[in-house]
Amino acid sequence: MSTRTVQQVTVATQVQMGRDFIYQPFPSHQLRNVDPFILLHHWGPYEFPPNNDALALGAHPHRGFEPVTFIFKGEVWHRDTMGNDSIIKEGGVQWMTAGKGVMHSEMGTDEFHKKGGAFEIIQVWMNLPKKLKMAEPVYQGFQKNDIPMVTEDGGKVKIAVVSGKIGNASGPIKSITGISAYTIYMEANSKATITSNVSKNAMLYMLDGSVTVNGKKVEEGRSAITFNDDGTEITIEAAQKSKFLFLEGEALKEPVAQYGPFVMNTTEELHQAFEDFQSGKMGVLED
Amino acid sequence: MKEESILKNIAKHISLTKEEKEFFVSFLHYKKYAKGEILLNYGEVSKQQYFVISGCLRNYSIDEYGKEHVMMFAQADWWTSDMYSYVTGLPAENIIDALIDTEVFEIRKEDMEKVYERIPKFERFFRILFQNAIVNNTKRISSTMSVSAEERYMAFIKQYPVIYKEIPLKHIASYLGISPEFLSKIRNKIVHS
Repeated sequence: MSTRTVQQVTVATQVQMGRDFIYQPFPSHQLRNVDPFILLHHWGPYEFPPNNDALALGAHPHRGFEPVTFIFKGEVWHRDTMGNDSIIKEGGVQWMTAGKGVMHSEMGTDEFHKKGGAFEIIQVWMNLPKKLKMAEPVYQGFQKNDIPMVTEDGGKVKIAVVSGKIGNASGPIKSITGISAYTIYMEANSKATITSNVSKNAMLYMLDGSVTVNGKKVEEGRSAITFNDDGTEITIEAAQKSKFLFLEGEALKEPVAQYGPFVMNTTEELHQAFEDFQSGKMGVLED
Repeated sequence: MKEESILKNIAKHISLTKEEKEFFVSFLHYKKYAKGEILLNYGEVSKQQYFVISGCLRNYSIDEYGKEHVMMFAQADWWTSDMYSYVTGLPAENIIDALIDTEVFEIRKEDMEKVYERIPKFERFFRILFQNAIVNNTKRISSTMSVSAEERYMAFIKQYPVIYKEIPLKHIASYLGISPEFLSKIRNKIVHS
């Protein structure tokens, strides 16, 4: 197998999202997107005291893509206009195909607000191709126990297969665009090998740690690592305890028009999305 | 005559002859916008400035989680535009809409250039307006970093004395960068003190 060389390492910048400060490796000046992944937001890690008001993303619409939340620490309460009401805890995932339009809210839970604790999540926006932008909305929520774990290097590496397949382990998510998504946990002085598909775009986001990826040193947390289309094998050697999100998907190579919570192909479609939202076509969700 | 309002506004900084007034007024377009109507949408290029005769305009953006962020309100006797798009010719990143039924004069960028050429005093007029806008923006940025929400709300009332009672609480909260619930608490505190 041939090595897939590192194209670029992009350290996330801090951005203000309402009252919260979060980290965003892309979109940025250094990295516009990793088609079909158009946005990555890293919240935390935070340590919330008891009686906190962690995460308050009240009712809001989406259309034309899939907002996906990976919960590394803490818990997220998702509600939507399809009738889903779902609390997902540490190690779980909330994968929403917004398609033609849906309203949802993402909040901290009452229990977490009362007790406090560690909180760390990543939200990724996975773009949908033109032919699927108006697909029926779907929500898939899975807890840690629903997600198969593959081990490497004598158990020093754990890979949770959220979507896609590693050997016999298949992720529970049904991705309509064939996305692979894994979360990877490595102990110090461990080695992991991932086989990627050379015809798809692949990326790693290192939440924290210090590693060498296919010979390239990455020593700063909150780094997005993108790859050239020249091989399949990605080898990670961790010098310290390290944590990753791996994403792989087919590049859509379509024009991207994004504004606020909508991702379409043209500005006119964005205006239409906004109108449809305002006229209630994406449903009504009380905060 | 509707033009009186805009001429009075201009007379605050420069004086015009009868001919100059007529020349300027010939480029004004009177428009009425109903509550909620959009004057400039994101992605469009801003090619004009607006003078508010009555009502109130809002200039705002929407973030990825659907939250609105109000940059400014323009009440009667105020000028506004999306300066980013107006100056650079790039698509607007903000939206301008009518918060309540609003009457405006619109003046196109190319017509404004004709006015500057024929009546150079207008350069002075807009220099003063832009100076004031820069001072206000600087104050707004520094106050969000160092002034309490209560004080910022008091400053808001002072700045928007005509319109603050007509603007829904959630929009004022968005302008101040606080939650509507928190603004409600501040209002109650002020009423009872």
